[in-house]
Amino acid sequence: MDGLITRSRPEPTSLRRSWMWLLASLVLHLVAISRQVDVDGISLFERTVVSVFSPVQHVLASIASGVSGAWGSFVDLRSVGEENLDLKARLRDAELRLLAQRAAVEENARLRVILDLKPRLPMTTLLADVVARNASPWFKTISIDKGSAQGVFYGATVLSPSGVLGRVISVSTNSASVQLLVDRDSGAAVLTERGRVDGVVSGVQDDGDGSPLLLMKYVPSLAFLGIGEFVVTSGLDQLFEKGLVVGTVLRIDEPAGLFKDVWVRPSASPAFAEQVFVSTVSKGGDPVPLR
Amino acid sequence: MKENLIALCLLLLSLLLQGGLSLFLPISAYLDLPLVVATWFALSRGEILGMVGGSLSGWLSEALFGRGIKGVSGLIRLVLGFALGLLGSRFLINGALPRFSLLLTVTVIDTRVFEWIAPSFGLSPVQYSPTAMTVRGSINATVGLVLFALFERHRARTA
Repeated sequence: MDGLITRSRPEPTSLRRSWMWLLASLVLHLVAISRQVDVDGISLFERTVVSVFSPVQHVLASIASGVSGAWGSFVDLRSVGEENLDLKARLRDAELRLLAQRAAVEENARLRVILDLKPRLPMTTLLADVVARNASPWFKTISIDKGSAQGVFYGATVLSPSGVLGRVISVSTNSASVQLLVDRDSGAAVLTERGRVDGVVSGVQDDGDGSPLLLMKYVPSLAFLGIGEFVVTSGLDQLFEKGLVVGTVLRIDEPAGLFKDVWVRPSASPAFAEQVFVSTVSKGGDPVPLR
Repeated sequence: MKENLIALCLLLLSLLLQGGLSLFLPISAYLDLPLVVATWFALSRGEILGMVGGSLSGWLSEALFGRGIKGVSGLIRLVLGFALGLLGSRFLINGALPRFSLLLTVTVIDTRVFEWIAPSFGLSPVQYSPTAMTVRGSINATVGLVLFALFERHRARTA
């Protein structure tokens, strides 16, 4: 501890003044925090900060993505020939699968007409770039580069190609914050694909490796579920459209009471999401805020 | 005045870096750059500017990346900035070991106090296990040591 050298002691009056400043600042902070409790929607402070920072964040994200892309292209060149052959083979397989799926979709559409069913997902979406991801240690949120000017509204569903990512919790003109499904305060009504077992998922951290998981609660202890079974949104919460993929059942804790805890691995990984889809029109057709 | 402005710019830069780096790795789980810079700010500028720096880093971090009620982190870092400013005005904390210990302690206090206070404001923050907390604190402290050395070199050159 030879680095610790005592400096001169401050004057008592200046120290007293500092304590007064601390007290005044504490009171100011408490007033500022308590004001938010009664204020509905996004605060003026938050709106200003986000508006000022979001263009800079967007530029930084573009530069980072450009540098990363250039480096990736350089690295990719080394194994491009081998990869090309592999991709061609995969493309042939995919085309065959696509043909089969097209036939299935056409058959499905015919059956829908016969049964007079409307399509379940009348969502229009727009593509947004992720400009910041989990940058706060406390919350699982991401920032995107589309806001109210592009039609994003509070509560809009945010999707990745593999499933639900979360929903918009604050919107400014050209950016928005998204609360991820793996956040501890998030929630979604879900059901299992095969067993049609209802439940509610919210974010938790895995005790082992700390990776974000979902905990499906309120599942009756007698309900039948299988490991690896798909979990999809049920639409009962009026927040998410029905039938969107949420994840797969990872493990099931045997119940001590009436309900069992089902651990779900989210299908959409926010750690790798670079671009996301945001719904721009709600179920009714208008971009109506949810609160 | 100029030095204070530079320090303030560094604080803002650290926030942008935190956001930018988060695109490649879950940086917040390991490193809190605004906290490290605010710690340096408080230690080198005294309690009043320490309060300002701490409070700003908390408020801006929450406004940019948080959700729900804002200002809880700002409140905690205000008090931390004040305490660090007092400490910095009384002692010269120069050695690597004292600095490492201080940064580790600051990270643990900041994280644990937030986890403790946040539920009172209706927030449910990520809870760090003791191991994750130690890793996070150690990484913050290591990065802090490097940054502190850089800041000092810059100050010595401009003095």
